[in-house]
Amino acid sequence: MDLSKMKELVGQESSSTTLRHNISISDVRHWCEVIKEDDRNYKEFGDSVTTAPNAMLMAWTMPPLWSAQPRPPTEPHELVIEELESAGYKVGLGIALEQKFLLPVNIGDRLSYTVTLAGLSSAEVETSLGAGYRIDLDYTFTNQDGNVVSQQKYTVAQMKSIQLQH
Amino acid sequence: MRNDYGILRFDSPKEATMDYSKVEHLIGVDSPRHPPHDVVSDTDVDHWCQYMQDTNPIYTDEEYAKTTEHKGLLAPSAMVHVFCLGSLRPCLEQFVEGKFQYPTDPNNQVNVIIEEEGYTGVMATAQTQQHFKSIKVGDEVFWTLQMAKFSTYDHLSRQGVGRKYTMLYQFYNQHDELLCKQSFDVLVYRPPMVTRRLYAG
Repeated sequence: MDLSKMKELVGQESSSTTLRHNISISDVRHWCEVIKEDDRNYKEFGDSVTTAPNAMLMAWTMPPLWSAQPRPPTEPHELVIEELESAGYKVGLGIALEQKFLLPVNIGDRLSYTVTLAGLSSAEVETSLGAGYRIDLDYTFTNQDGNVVSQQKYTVAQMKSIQLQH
Repeated sequence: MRNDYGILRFDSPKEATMDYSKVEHLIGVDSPRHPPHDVVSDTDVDHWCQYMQDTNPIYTDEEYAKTTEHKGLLAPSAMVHVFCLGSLRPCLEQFVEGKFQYPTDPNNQVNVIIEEEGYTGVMATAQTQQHFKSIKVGDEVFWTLQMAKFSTYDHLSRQGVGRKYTMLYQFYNQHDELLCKQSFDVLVYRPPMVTRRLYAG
């Protein structure tokens, strides 16, 4: 594993990824049904809901469960994670998420996001679940007008295995 | 005759079989037409295609879909029932508390009767779908349900003594056009005494 090569990627920002779909009543309704036990149907929702729950933002960044043509890793954070995985650090554990919401996300918005590789530990760091490399990621979400709607700091520990405490 | 767990003794008299006349008036009767909880959306169709690994662009590529005779995205026909499923709350109320969302629907009335008659085991055995019209993204799928057939006598199955029934779903779009007829076959049975003892602990 070439740590110095990975360190060169720190500070670099990914290209912008546009989400697969517009923010929709359908997705928001599913979320509210599960999280808030909101039982209104899509018509009642459409009449009264104009914005998406802020905490839902990360849901739209999730890659498809399956793709006929999977995209190879090309972005700085993807390359670092791929390198660590090849070296045996195959378990990614989200350990912190800080979210800042700057503008409402409206139904019908088409969001894009970039990820900056903000940090990579120089050596393994000890956690209560085992040792691994710490990766700091800065997400920036913008809407179709180019306005920043949210900034998020996501910290991941990339580990060889998780040692559960009993 | 029953013990604290509702279990009959081995030397109990034979259990009476269910009288078909209790449900006869409910067989072949359609429920009212029920509205959907969700509209057919491109995101739900996309999720389905990911799960099913279906790459047909007519479902997910809007630009391509506009060039076809349909002039827009379609939903996979096999997905029709998805749009008529209730939300989580009524599902939980039905399966945990036995409370139906539409208690006056004929099929639900039959379900209450057969459960009271001791046919507490349920096994789905077959499903068929006959499609008549494509489902478009943006459609609203309404549905009716009837208990189309119900055994007039008990069958002996490996699960126990039971009755077979066929439910018939009919799905319509917002223009009142029939999209699909779907049959769903079920075996309801009285679990044999050994099984009941097992459940009772």
